[in-house]
Amino acid sequence: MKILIGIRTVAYLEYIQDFIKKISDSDFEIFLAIDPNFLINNSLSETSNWVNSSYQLNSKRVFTLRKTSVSSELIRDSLSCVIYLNEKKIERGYFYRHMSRCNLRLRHRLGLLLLAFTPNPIRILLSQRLTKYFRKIILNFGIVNTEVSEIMPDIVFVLPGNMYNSYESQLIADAKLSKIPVVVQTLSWDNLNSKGTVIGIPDKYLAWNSLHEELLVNRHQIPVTNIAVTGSIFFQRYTKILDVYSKEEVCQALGIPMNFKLIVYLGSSKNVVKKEHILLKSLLDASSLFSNNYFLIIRPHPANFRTWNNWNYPETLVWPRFQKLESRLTIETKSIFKSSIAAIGINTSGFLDAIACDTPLFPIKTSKALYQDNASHFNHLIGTGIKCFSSIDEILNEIDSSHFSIKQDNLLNEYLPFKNSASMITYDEIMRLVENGKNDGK
Amino acid sequence: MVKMMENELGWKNYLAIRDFLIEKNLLLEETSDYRSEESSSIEYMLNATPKIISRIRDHTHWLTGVRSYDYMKHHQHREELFVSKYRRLRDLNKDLDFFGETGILGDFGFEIDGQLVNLDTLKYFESIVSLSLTGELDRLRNYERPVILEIEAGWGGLLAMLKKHIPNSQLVVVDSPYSLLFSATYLPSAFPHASVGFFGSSKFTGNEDLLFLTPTQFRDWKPRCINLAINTVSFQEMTSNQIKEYGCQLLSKSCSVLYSHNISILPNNKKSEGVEECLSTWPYQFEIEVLPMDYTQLKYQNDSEFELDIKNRNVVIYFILKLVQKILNRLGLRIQKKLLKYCTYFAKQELCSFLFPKISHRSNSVHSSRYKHIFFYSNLEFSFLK
Repeated sequence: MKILIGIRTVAYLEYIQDFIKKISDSDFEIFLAIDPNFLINNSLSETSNWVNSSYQLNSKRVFTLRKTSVSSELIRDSLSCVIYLNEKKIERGYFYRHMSRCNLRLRHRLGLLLLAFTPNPIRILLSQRLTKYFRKIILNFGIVNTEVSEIMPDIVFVLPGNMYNSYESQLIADAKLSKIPVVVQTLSWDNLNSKGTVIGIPDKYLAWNSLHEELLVNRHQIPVTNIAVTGSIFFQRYTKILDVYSKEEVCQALGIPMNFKLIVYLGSSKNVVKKEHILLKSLLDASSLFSNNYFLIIRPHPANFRTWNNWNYPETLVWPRFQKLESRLTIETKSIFKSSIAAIGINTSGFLDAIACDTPLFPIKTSKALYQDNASHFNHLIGTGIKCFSSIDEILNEIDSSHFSIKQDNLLNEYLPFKNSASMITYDEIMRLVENGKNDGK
Repeated sequence: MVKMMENELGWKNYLAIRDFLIEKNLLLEETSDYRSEESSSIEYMLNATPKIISRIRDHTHWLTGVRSYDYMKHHQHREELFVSKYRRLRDLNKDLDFFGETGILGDFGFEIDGQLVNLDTLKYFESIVSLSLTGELDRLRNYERPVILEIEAGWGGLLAMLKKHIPNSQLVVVDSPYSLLFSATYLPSAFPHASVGFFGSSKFTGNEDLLFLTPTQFRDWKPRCINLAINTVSFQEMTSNQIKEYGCQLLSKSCSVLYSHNISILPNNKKSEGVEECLSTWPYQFEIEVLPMDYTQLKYQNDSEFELDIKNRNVVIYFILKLVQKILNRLGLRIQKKLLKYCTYFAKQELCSFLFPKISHRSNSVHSSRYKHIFFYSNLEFSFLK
């Protein structure tokens, strides 16, 4: 059996590490197609060596994806923007941001804006038709990555396929034209509401949870039969670790006095808060309960770590200052979460780490955040019953109140279902498609 | 009487390290060309007398270039320069205590706010300020017994200052045998109650308050972890291999943070690829600017002074520069930043600030001073538990 994995950057392999292990242990011959803009040191051989050594992946062939034609790109970009208009409520922040990133012509931009301000039923009707139309005509451009027809894999696996200027998304069209089953894997918590869309409807779109499923149906116009909720392979890593460091060991390692209660602050990306360190300082300054009782471990967002370079505030510690996704310290992270009485933050995928580690979550709502109120993934979180707070003292009062108890089971089932078996379910879905493909061929 | 006891203690400490180095044959340890040149100049310290040791700081100029002569009474007129820089540094963190020279074994300097201050003291304080601004000082204070190691500590001035900020710390000096004659004399004399350990001696336990090792011994030393490693003004003189070797050794010994105050590449050091480049195996590094001038500079010329200075010297050049300034300021900020970056390679910082007034103060001033305060992070805090 042959599997072709189309990926934007090899760093994303970390998100599907367990699945990768599963397929390399099975009979699959692995082929890897990478976006040429994200090669390690701009070298394919270096990237290939890194992948093979880091993941013990005996890949049969590694090649770079090709750039599509300008007209095809234009359609892809228009499609990515138009999907924001498929829902009743438009996430305008992300819509405008995506539009500004795309290489659209003025008339297309104006057309999209006009559509965005068209009354609801007409707008949705038009944008849904446009979505279908764009997906149909994009197939007319033919196969771009001819390697697909050379290799003739049993299945094409695309990750994530919906980013801005995505090269790997073309593999969906190539696979469809070559009549090869294709699977798309969702990358992260907010990947489906803050990024673009796929250029074609895959045979299966693998979603983490019901929030993703909802977005795929309503916004991305993917038929529900083509969606499988498999859970998150990425967060499965926490369930594999059974022994964690005790609070005493965590304090000893990080130099935290034992008498303090630990709280984790989960840093957000620059898109969410521009100067997060200033915001946190003002929150801490305004707190009268924090000092002498609590110790804050600040976990910077991997894309917004420099903001903490000059952080110097008593009873706080930035750790780790920076770590690459592929070198994430899972035992240490889980130990910190387990030793902490609460996890706080503005709006970050780190919330899911807290949920996965059963640490009570306390989002802070602030007017200084850009994508909070108007972001569907954050609203969905609030919709599940999580309470929002406006100050640190409010959170500390809630923690100390007698009625406080950890009730995160609902959250865990809602956001990270199949937390022990996501990679297995993904593998089964893929095997089913491969089998179906073979039967269809016969 | 106190002075006499101090001097006696100094002599006792000197004899202890000298005899240890001779007994273990460590003085023959191989070292770099630069170090051997330096060592040959201080070889005479092997035959020092009690008188020399009682004023050992008169001899530390061989290590740092700062001479006690320049702080004698007839140089009192220079004190103002020191006061101005001292104030600027203190203004950066008003809550941070300042500890001047300890006042032993011939310590010298101008008296400012009741403390002895010289160029070394200000350099060390600048390092302490950078540690405090990045939160490192607070982090170390939180440990029960933080291990602080300095590679090539010279006479031990920075560690002495750090020990006053973090009294419960264990200090480790890794240095060439001849330099150890200074640090292993000075530090135990500055902290007479601290226990002292020479790696390789029969009494060495590794738990002593002050540890002394030569670079060769450093490879064999197996600490539980190192909470902070420091190198000031000496990585710049090493070869790439030496810096890389130190970087790898520190990582293998679970060092959490490495602080470097160095010039990336010294013009005459052809055997180095640059400090940051050599330590690129560390997962994360960042630079922090403490003052927009090198530690060697005392006077900071601000923009208006500079403008006046050029005007007085040559009016034509002044008007040409003013014209260039106007043209440059019409360019976009991004282009200005790029041009400023190139400009800082060959022009003085004052001239850059004059030509790019809009952005020169807002930029991170990566090139504004040649000496860089850089922090390297390993994420190895938990590794000693494994």
